[in-house]
Amino acid sequence: MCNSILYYNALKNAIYHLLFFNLLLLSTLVPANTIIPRESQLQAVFLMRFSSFISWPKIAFMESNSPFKLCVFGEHSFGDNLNIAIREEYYDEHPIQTLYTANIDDLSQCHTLFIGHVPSYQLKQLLQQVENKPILTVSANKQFIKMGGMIEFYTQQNRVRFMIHPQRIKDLQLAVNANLLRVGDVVQ
Amino acid sequence: MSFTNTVVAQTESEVVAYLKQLDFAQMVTVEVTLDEAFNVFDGLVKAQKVSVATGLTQTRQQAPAITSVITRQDIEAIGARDLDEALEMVPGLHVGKAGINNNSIYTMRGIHTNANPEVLLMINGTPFKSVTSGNRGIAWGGFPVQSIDRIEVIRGTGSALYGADAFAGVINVITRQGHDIQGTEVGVQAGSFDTQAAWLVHGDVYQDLEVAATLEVSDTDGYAALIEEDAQTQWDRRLGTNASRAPDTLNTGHRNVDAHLELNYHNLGAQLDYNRRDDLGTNLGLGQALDPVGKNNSERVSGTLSYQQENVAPDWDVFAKLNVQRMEYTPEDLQVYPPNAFGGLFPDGFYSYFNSAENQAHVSLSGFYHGIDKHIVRVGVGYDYEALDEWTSYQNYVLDADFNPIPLGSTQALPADQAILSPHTRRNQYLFLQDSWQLAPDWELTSGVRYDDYSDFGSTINPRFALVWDTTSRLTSKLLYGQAFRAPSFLELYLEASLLGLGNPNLEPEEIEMWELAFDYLISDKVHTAFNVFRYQIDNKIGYPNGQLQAENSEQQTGYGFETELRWKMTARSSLLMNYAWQKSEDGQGLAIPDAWGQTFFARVDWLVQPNWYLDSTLRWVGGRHRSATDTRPQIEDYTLVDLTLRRKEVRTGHWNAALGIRNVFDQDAREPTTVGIGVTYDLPLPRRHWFVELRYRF
Repeated sequence: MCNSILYYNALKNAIYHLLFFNLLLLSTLVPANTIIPRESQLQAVFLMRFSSFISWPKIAFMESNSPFKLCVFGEHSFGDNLNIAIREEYYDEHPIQTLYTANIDDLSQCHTLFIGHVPSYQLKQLLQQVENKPILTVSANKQFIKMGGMIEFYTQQNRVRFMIHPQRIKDLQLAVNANLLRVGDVVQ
Repeated sequence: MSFTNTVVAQTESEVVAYLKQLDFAQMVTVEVTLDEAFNVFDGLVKAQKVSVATGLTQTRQQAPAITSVITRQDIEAIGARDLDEALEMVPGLHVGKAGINNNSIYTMRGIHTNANPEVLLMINGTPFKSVTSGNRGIAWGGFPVQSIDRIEVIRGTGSALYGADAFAGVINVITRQGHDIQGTEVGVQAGSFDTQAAWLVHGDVYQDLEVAATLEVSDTDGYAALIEEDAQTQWDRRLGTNASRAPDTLNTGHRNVDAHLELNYHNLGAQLDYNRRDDLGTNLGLGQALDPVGKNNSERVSGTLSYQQENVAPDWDVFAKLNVQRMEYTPEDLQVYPPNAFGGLFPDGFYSYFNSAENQAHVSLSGFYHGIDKHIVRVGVGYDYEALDEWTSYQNYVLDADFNPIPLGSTQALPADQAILSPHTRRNQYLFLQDSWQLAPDWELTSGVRYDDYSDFGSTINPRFALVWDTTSRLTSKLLYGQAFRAPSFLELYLEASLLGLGNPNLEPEEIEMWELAFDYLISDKVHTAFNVFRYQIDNKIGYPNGQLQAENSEQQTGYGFETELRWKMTARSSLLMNYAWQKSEDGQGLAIPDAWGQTFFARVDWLVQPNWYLDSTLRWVGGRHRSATDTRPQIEDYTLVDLTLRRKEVRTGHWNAALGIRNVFDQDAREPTTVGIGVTYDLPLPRRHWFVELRYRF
């Protein structure tokens, strides 16, 4: 009994130290009420908005109102943000839907494919899988464009930017709006 | 033009809604927090994967074992400079220190010995273990962190997959690969105790070849805490002599060199590891008498070749691995007792130490078969060769028939027939089988069994079962059962009559049986908890009953307890991690296991103070440690340590990363238990308040 009181007091002491120390710092250093979005939140919104600047051929859709599939393959940091970003969003008449998959066979139904953190040998494999299909490929993996991808996110001065390879997109009968090319860094 | 974000937003939906209403061109000007930045919550709860539980990569929640993952972000956030510092954040894992050589003691669930062979350390699945001492080597000297991508820890038994010594727990260090690094990084550190460290990391993908290389060097004088009275003080009292160096300081300095090279080409992998420790201080001394003269040196070289192939035959994936390693231990001038000890019988000091070299080879072949609906079957076979090839005893005395030391005049290498240990070889072949069966959409049963056949102590069979139930979309429940064994070390088996004791070649492995029940609950997207209870029994425990000098499988231990964890993303800029563990364990006589912690508490708070400025504070409390029944000293005092790390980091863009760390902020006199008898009078002091600065540049 005596011991447990000792432990209890020590623990209280410990928590008090931690809280006191942090509250002190919090109250003096943290500026109130400004928020900075996370890299992945901004990427999620980019992914959704790319569909406003690209036109897919009709054959990419089974029916006039069948969903537009925004696929995510591999480890990612979106959490719920991508789902929130595409909520009630459409590509023409096609409601945008997300598909998180680890199955390479699912990819043929995608319109936009975001490839998360995967080993480079798998990146190649994935790009081969969607080759010649009307699928916009996007990733933040370094050298993604070099390896044959279409849009590669990168960061500069804590800002999210993207490189884009318009020729690869056009080769698959997708049309690219010039505004997209103005904002991105065009790679030939 | 830069776009400043003055929006007031709290939830993810609000942030996304805000971003969606921006003009497209504005989006590239929005300042963001980079995902690589520390995020104790998202990084650790949502995207945590482990492979240590089954060999398959699984989410931590669904893995059929109680696991923790420490990521590279965690290591950086808490400013850990050594594996031990990172491990402190695992619920119920306390890293203690041994009096001799300052070796680390990883204590989980009340399973505690000074030699600490009960926790298996692996680097990329390859054991880092000395067959002579059963632990991570006599001169451990720490393990630096720059090569580490993540650390996976199993609390509880793991022998059904990993064989010997996965007894109280398993620590698997997974190194960074080329695609994790993608560039070159250099870093330097300097701090208290005249500590300097530097490292160079390079990794990239060149066509089909992936390269990762790390070189780390460090040099420290070590913390010089005062030891008031040592073992020699006690001898002096008994004998009326005056030889002790105490009061004087601990000897904890060392120089480390660690290198890691990893190449991956298609399905082939090659790894080379080098770990060298020079002038590692003896801490309290080999005889618990302060020894500023003796130095430990050790070297480990390990090479691994691996091959993996998916669909090598229909529904079969295979993984093959060959590892060879050599561990050398070459101390110099270890003084067990100082000059003029024992009434001047040894005017230059009492010297006794040994040099040794081990060679090991490990071959394994395992395969996953997914041809049976709802089953993933893993089978594996392997062969281990572990040999103590060289052993030389150095002494300035010999023992007569009554074990009385007779001075030799100078320290000499003893003839092989007088050495206290001779070369021995252990061979082990094993076979394991594991099945993960999706019983129902929400239920998975993993069953496994491993058979090991050792050349020196016979065979052992270790089963395990794990039932994992996705109770709701937010709650996972697990019921686990496992058996495991600890192989007796060569010192326990074969030590010839000496002052250190006597080996027993008839020893059998220690055996443990453990039950666990665990819950993992995502209360909300911002709050995650985990809770587990465990109960175990150890039989055939190797000990030295009634103070006898020869080891025997005569002891028992039972224990039970719980571990609980909370992660809370308090605001968009701050998160909290807390864990608490409680355990009660006792030996066959009902006496508490000495020196093992009874309770631990850990808390960590991460703040993003300003863009690019991170502040991390950790607090750990250790309590409830008992003395042994024969130890009449006052009870071991609990301690609380608070550490603080402030870091400025501009991921990828600015290249610079700088940190300031303060350890033991409140300058507590924290101590780890020492052994009673002819040991030191007081407990072993840990470093008082100290600091370091760190600077990295990424090309």
